[in-house]
Amino acid sequence: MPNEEVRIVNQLAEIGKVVDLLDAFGRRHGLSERVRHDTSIAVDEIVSNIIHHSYRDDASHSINVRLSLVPDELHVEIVDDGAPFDPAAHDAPRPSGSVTDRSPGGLGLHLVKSLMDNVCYFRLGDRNHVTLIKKTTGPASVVGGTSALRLSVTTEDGVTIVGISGKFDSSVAREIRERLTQLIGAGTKRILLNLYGLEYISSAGFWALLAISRELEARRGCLVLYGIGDEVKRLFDLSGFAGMFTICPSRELGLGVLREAAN
Amino acid sequence: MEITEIQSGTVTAVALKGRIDGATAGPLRDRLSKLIASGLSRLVVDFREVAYISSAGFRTLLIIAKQSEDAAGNLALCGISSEVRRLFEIAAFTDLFVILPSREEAIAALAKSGGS
Repeated sequence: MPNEEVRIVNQLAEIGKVVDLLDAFGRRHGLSERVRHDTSIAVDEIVSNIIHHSYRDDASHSINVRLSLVPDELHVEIVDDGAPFDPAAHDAPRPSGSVTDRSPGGLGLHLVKSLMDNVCYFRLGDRNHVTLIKKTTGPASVVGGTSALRLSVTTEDGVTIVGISGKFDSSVAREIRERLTQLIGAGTKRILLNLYGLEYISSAGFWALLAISRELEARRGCLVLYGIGDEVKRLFDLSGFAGMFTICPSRELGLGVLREAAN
Repeated sequence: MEITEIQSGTVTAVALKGRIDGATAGPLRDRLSKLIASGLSRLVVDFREVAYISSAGFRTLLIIAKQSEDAAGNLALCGISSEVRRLFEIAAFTDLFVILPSREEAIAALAKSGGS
């Protein structure tokens, strides 16, 4: 898996280093101009945001950017040690209004969501991990994000709550599994999966969840699901996977089960 | 990013080359701001060699447009490729500016415009 990494300090002028690397990497691996440019813009937005809003002090901080190419996708993982910020959780309404009454806030995230096929966010320890995903083949998405899958991770009382929304199918199953495996590798034992935003789950999605559940069990951990709507419940029942998971009707009950599991 | 100014009668064309992003938008804003402050009120910004523009670039355009308005000046953009136009559309910025196909047309349009 071709990959490359660069570490910069929190200065706007450093953005050039990242996009130069991204451009050279993209050219070397035959990525189209649109993929290179769209991803550069998204990286610029996220890194600029971090530099402008993430730090509570005047110290020098480093931001790590890692590019990797997996089949059909370019992934850019941006890691910073600033305040927690989940770009995937922020609504980015389409901007409107005339020049004079237009406020520029929110435009950056709107561009990120429009230009990327997927945006994932994790808070691991004291760091933000944002992963931008751009498809490198097939028809270029003009405005992605509407049905793209999104992941968000928060912690509460020692329980890691992972929200999965959008379509959970074979195109994203590996990504989700890798992300959750990464969390488990970092020491997470109790995961509460919030599936409220899930539109659809395919067998690849079920298998990914099952793999995660087994990984957790192997480490004496526990996986609990909640927020399953009628449509998704039907898929769980039809597939026969419903009985393989601990499913709770609410977040509180889910947290309760996980708290008990820890004792 | 390279910024080149070309004076054509009463109109100043500013040709941009490269990417307009978080790193380059600030210097570009300062440069355009100075031109307006120095009394050059008819400005054409030529995008022909712009690779892409991020939200920081759009913010700069907003600030410059407001400044130009305050100075009763005229501002036009030109040379916007289909790829860059796509970004203007996603950002919903297409209707906010006078956009003309070529630098020549933009200069001709502003030369005829009112104002100082």
